Amino acid sequence: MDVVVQLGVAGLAIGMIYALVALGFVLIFNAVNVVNFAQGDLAMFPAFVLAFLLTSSRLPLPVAIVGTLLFAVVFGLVFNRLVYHPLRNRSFVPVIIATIGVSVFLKNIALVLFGADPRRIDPLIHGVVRIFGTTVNAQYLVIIGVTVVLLVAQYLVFDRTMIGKQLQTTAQNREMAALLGIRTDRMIAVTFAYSALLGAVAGILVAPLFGVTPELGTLIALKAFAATVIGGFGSVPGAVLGAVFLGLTEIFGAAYVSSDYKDAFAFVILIAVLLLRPQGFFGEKVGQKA
Amino acid sequence: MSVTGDVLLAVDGLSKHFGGVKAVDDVSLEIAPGRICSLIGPNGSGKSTLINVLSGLYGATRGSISLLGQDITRRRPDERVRLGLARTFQNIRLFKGLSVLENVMTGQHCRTSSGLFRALLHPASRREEAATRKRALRELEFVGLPDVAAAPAGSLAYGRQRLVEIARALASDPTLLLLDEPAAGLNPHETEALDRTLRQIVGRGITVLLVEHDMNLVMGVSDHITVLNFGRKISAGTPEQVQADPGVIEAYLGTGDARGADAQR
Amino acid sequence: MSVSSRLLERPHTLAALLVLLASLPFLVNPFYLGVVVLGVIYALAVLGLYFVMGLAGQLSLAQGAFFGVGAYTAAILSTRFDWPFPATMGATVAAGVLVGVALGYTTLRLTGHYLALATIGFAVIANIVFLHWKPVTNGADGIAGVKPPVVGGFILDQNFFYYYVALAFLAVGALVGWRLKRSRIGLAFLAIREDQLAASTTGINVLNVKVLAFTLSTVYGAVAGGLYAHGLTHYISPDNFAFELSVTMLVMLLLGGQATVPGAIVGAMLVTALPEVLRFLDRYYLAVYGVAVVLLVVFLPQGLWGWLESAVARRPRRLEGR
Repeated sequence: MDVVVQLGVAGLAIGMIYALVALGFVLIFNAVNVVNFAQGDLAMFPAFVLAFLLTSSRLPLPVAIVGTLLFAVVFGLVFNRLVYHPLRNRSFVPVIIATIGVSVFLKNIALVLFGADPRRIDPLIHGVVRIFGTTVNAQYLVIIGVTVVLLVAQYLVFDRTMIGKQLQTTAQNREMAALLGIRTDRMIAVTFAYSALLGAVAGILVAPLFGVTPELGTLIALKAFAATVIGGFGSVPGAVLGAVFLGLTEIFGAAYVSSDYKDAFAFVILIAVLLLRPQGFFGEKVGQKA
Repeated sequence: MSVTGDVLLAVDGLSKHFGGVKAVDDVSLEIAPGRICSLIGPNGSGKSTLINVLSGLYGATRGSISLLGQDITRRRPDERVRLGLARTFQNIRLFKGLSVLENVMTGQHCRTSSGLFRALLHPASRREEAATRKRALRELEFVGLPDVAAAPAGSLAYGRQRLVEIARALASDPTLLLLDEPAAGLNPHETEALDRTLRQIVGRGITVLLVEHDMNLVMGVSDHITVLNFGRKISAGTPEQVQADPGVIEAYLGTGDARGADAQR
Repeated sequence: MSVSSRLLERPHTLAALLVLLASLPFLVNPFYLGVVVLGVIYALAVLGLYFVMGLAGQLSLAQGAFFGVGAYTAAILSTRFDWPFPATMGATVAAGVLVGVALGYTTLRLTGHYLALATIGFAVIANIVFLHWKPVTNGADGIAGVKPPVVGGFILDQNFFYYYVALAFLAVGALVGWRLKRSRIGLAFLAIREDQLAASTTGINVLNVKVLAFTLSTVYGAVAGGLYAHGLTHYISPDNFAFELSVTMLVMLLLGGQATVPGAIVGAMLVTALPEVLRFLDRYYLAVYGVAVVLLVVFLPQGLWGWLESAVARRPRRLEGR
């Protein structure tokens, strides 16, 4: 029982990390109909930035975190401006390949600047917490807590505020949004910035668990990506639930099935979903429109 | 309406629902071979949806479609083409990056058979390609565009793109040709030419089902007209009968959409 | 999307390119012979992408993994079961067909990004299997001692001779690609790239044709992988087939211009040589490479050839008047 609780909390926490990156995928996909292959590196790179600010610049943790988040937002805006914007009227293939280029760049510039050795970041809160009569790593609870707060905030902003409605309208129908006087280019820029922010939060939260390496983003992104397909590509709740499902599967699978193939579970499920229910669990039925 | 042997296309109780919206609702109609039949109705009456169900882009919610006595309700679009049912689109869908000739040649795809290995190894495939090319050129001549074969399809003027699309459909040897608003966006001169082309198509023994807003064209060229409103069939008959039907007039006026205004769209 | 460039469509261009490739070992510094061999092998894999992406317009992100499947198939059959080169290469074709048909029929039913999604999944799973299925793949240690081809008692293990073996495969692959584009099947590929829905209502069985294009790509990828295993260092390991390889192959195709055979070959050769040319960049090489990918798609949408042609030729385009 203790083990099940521990694994459950760990799985949930990993799932939350995937969920943050998965949301980045979904928001950008909904806004501009393109899969951003650099989404995982938008988690990896800020994690390095944080490690750098903490160790080399010796900034206090809160300042370093704010600095990292700021960096992410600016990066998202620059990314939109230099990579997506020039390609916005082309088909999805060049855009996807450009994002792959960004991913390669981020990974390798990180390798040059920070090296291949994992960088450790101290947990935001040290130690363990007792729940359900057993102890769990406090960092897991921090991850779950922060993500849940962020998701609720995101829901409120999207659902209740003007900018949220403008973002949604832009995502649903860009031409219509433009007719309504919404500055769609600006909304898309905001979407990129926010997706980068989500990535940075994921990176900051996961760094104390795994250590930061240039490859960190790729693996998280691939899992998050699988989660979005499993949940139904384009669906926000689908992405979150798919991510949590994958996180739990992975942790329990590693414990009870095989730890060698831990990273393969997500993709076996992914392919199974593509075969049996390609629209995912929350997606609309895929089909052709005349 | 007629003896079964005389029916090319039989649509029986056909419905297409999108969620709660009944875009096409329990429509039955029969098309006799060798004629021009038209499908009219106010905007949003379900004409395009019906064409999309007939050509297999949408699955039917209920009802059946049979072509020459063969049930095709569950067939894929390409299987329907092979069985003799070709179509064009209201918003022209040519392969824009390919040449005009290549566009028309694709129409012959389902009438030719060279697969991977034959294309690589067998000289017969070359003969087949030459024949396909010749046939495509003939169709281009038929629609009056013999001189633009090498041009990229996307570079043609709008009216000419429509003709290329018709040539592509004709290249698949259809017995029934579905034309979705072929006169939309044409000038009066081009519409007149289209009228002639339609008659020539029927002259080749091909039956035409025409969806059209241009009432002059429809009334002049059709042997039989079916009227849809809100997804349901409200009238059918010769152009004279339909024009005299008070229900039809009401349908058009009731939506605040007089014939003339509608035709301009 | 324009009608593909004229110069590259001429048979003379392909013939000249093949002659140039045949004389390449005499032209380059022997020190770089290995790079040239690798370039020809990659070119064959990139020709596979030419079918599925260049002609049929479907984004496949696992060409490097199919390459790996072929390499492991050949390496295992050669080292464990002593199969000779022709037999292992036949097996790579079979492996390619198997993967292409199975993955194709399951994912190509759907339009949109699904092939891209499923191929990423496949690429990741393939690499995990290479790495962890130790009894068969030998894990991270890889497989050494893959036997070179033997012709008439003569062992072709030197790069100079192996180059011509690889080039023979590439030449056949190029001729097939060349011929197919002009055939009924090639036209169907192009129609699907332009508009799948219109292709289906024009009488093309979109699913079958897409699976055919995809299977050609997996076969080319697997055969190229087999060539890779049998030549060069006669050694393979999971590192050789990471996701980056799939990306690199896409870049090769894009650089050359997506829809022509000579473009695919030239793109592959150039990108393979790039690390040697840009050696001065040292550790920054891959970072610069990432930026170059972005610049490539932003500024050279028609690839290097397309750009060269429009820059040099500037002939008036014969466009239809109104």
